Amino acid sequence: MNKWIYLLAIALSLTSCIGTDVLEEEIFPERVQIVSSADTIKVGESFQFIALFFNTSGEMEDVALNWRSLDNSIIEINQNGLATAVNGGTTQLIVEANAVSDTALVTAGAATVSSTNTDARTGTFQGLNNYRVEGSFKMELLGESSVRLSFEDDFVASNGPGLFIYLTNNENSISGGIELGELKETRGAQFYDFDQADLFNVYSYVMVYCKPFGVPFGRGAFEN
Amino acid sequence: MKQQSFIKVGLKFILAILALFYAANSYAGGGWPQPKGSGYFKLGQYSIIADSYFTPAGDIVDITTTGFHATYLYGEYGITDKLTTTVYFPFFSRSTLNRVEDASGELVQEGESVNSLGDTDIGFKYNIINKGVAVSALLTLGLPLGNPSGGASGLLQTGDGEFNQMISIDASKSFGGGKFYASAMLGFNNRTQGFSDEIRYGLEGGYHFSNFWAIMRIDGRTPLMNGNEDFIPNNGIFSNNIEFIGFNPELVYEVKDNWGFSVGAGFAVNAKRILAAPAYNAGIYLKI
Repeated sequence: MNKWIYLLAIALSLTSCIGTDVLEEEIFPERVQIVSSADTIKVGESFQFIALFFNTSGEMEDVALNWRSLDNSIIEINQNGLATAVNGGTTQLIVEANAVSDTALVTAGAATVSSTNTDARTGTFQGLNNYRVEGSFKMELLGESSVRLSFEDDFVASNGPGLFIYLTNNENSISGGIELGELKETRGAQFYDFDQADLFNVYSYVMVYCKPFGVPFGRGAFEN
Repeated sequence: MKQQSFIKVGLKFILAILALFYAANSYAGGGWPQPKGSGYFKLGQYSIIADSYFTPAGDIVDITTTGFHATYLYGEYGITDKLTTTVYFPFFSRSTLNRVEDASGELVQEGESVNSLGDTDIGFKYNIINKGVAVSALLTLGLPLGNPSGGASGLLQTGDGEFNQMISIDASKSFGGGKFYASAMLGFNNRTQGFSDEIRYGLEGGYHFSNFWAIMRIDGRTPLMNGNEDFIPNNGIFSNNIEFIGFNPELVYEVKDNWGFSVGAGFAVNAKRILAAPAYNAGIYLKI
């Protein structure tokens, strides 16, 4: 009988180790996005353009950006993204990183007018994988450096282990997204602040995600 | 290594293999009591490793691989010819959650584990009828000796943290000069700490050939959904409102008249809120 007891012990030791799960690689197209821009710059003044680069993992990456203007006689821009209106007219500003680029059509005119969306972004949650996540949310800028994501009174989520809030551009996963913190309550109003105002217009979805087991419970798309 | 995509809708009607936490209710000898002074004792190992989970609607989604293992002692002893006491004591329980890496090998989430005693059942079986059909009533007390919030995250469990009391009726009959038997069980499990109460049921049949018993057990669990809606289950092994119908084949080999060993597995055709993976059970038993 002893040998069978030993076999049981061996079976236990072979099966109960902590293994490793490898996430399937999600490939995103590289992109660079101008997140702070102007429609018009007053002649003689400057405006700070900001662009972010996202790699094939969908994550922000600090790479060298190349800024240029199609017509330097109208607007000049240096390699830090600082644009200066020289003479009246309209031209295109281009930012390039690796093999991708983004553009902004900018006028040198009578007043400086930012084109960056600073209005609150809103959306509504829907459940995923048979879990309940409902209610509306709003994201707004708090001054120049912070952002607040607020869930409204009608927010309801299924209970679950280790639920976290993410901003993401993938409707089914958090790849390339950012974590805002653990879900505070499964019902009612609550908010999540973060100090990356540059990211205010970057992400398309808010996701409620079971982090330890890797399951999305619900998401909401920004409607604006 | 596991490829993680998130939804496998449509698998629910496949003979999906299930996380049956059936160890605790699969030994109790049916309606037959132990004669006074006689006993049945088993040292067993229960294991499940799952990378899928039955959602509340019964669909299957991929999850980070999690495991649960219990090394247990099970015993039945006849206090009198009518009264048998039963004990299920998982003296070593282990729950694990895999480490997660991205495709480049970069750490996404650390793995973790917890080891402890497991939730323990103590039962008292009283034989009501033992002529042709054996019918017994069983009271089982579930003692929360396991850890309901272990590991660095507090999410791993070796127990549910609640004291439950189950009453059940078991009926058994043998046929063909002892070559066949059949048993049926119906029980009500009163759970505490926000868990929903449950109806449990089972059918079991066995066939004896050579030195083997081939056993098929069909069991199920239906929650009454009367628990606390805000209760947060930590994982899919000791979750709340679990529901399933499972098939559990088992093979018992009688080495001698008084000892042998058994191997079994658990499979399901329908389940909710439970890990979706094969559950295995093996053990050595001794009769006195």
